[in-house]
Amino acid sequence: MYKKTDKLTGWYLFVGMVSLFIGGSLGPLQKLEHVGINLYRALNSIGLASYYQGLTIHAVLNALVWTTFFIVGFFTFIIPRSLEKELVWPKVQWLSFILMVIGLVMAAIPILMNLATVLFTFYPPLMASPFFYIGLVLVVVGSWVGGYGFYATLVSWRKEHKGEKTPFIALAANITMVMWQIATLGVATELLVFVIPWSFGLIEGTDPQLNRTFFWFTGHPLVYFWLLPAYISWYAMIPKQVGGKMFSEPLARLVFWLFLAMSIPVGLHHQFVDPGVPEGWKVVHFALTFGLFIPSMITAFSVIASMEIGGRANGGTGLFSWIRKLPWGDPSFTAQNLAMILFAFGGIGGLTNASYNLNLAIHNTMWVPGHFHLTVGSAVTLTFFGITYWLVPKLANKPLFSRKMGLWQAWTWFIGMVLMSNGLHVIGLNFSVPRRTMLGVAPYASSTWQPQLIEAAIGGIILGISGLLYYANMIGTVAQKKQLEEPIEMPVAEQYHEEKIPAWLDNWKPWFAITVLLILVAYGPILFDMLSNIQLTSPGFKPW
Amino acid sequence: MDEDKKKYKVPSGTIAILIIYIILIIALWGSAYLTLLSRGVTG
Repeated sequence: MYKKTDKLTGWYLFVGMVSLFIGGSLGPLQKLEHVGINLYRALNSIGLASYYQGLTIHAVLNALVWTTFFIVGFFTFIIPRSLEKELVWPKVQWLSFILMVIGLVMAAIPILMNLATVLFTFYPPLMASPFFYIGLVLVVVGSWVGGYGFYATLVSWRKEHKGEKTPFIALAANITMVMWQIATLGVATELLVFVIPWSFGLIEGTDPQLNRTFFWFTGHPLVYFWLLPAYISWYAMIPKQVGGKMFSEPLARLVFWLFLAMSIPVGLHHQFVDPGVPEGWKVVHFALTFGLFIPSMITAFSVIASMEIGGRANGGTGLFSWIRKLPWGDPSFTAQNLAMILFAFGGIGGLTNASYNLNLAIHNTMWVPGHFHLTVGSAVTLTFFGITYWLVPKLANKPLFSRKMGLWQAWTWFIGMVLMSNGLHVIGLNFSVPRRTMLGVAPYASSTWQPQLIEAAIGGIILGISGLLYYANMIGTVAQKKQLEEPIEMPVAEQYHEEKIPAWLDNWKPWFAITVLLILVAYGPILFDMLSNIQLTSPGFKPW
Repeated sequence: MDEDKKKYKVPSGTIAILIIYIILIIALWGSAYLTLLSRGVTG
């Protein structure tokens, strides 16, 4: 059973991992450039034109490609197992993968030819080759198509199991995909209606403010598209891995429904300094963003409580001693637990970002990539690494090449990220050092920035070493001849309490209605206003 | 009910960790706010 979809999962992971390897390799170069070691010149000979082209490759491949391929592949693996049912449209799932690969290739070629050096937010009036945008659209559409296959499987399961509650993992994965599909309507509108015709020359100018608003309609929920698959592992798999139980399944379900409803109508908190957005709407989105603190804190409580159950079941006592009884020798657990710890600090930084007045202190400074690397670079990526420590051996039917190497990888990632993100946060907050800037040649660069820039560079190098350990372990796992002695099963936690799940936590209609309503309230009037006053006047720029 | 209490224990360690976390949030968030205030008023 599941052989065909397992093969597909393997392909998704392969493309995602290769993308992360290429994108991740350029990360340490940025940090070294900031301390005056410019390795980009050495890469000129292989076609890397500038720091900014490298930054675009780094961000697009890591933040957009690695995550999306991993998530769709992960869902392809977990949904059938959660429902104990094969995916009903296997050809559609393959079509999804093919579309995503075509999109990736189509976007990658202009990036590599320096025709799309527009960074991962591709803010107009920066202009790229139209094929870059079309490629991104195909990656997103491919992920939608994958989602249609998941929904069809869920609908089919529900017909066969009338009156039964949807298993948590399948429900949570489908909620994530639905949230993603609604959220990406923003960037789809931006690209298909405005940016692609503009980049083909069919429209003379563009409206940067309107495009940024459509982008952030998608941009913030994109963070939750990355995080929710990690939450699925933290809620439903980690408890099993630590010998514990899921603290409360109804609470876990509530959290995913809340993220569906609340992830999208918050995007304007990324535009607090945009002059064209009325202040009243910024305040509305600021308040809604703080609403996300509720499911986030419920998650913190539930996940830690589930681990505490495991730690105590393993003989742990006292207020904190149970922590030592968690399986710290298991790289899958250790990577994910360290990801959670880093995310705790990412959450605090996120509260600062979302605070209307505090945002002024850190907006567009190094603080932001410091925060970003604690979320997508740690909570998400380190968790995904942790998942692959059991998933890749399962798919390859081979044991993990080296548990010790896996542990070293997890800890070096943790240490490297602490150093790098701390350095970036501090210089962003204290000195307003700009982000996305080639600081090594900036005439205004100050020697007072050096301690933190050096700290960040050391962190970046350690992260690079950690990445190499990860890939050595993955290649070693797949390439070895040794076979698994016992099959690996997807870890699925049991409930701690025998709780009845209320019907409203298994019903899509009210949550879908709340989601649409909140989006209409938070975005309807502001988008109507912007569209009514649209100014398609800005020409395109290609500065790098 | 008593049996439930024996079987399902309150996650006291979790509550302690979250209290520490809340204190940390206030401290770090507060320090960012103080940095903003230390820059003085503009305009």
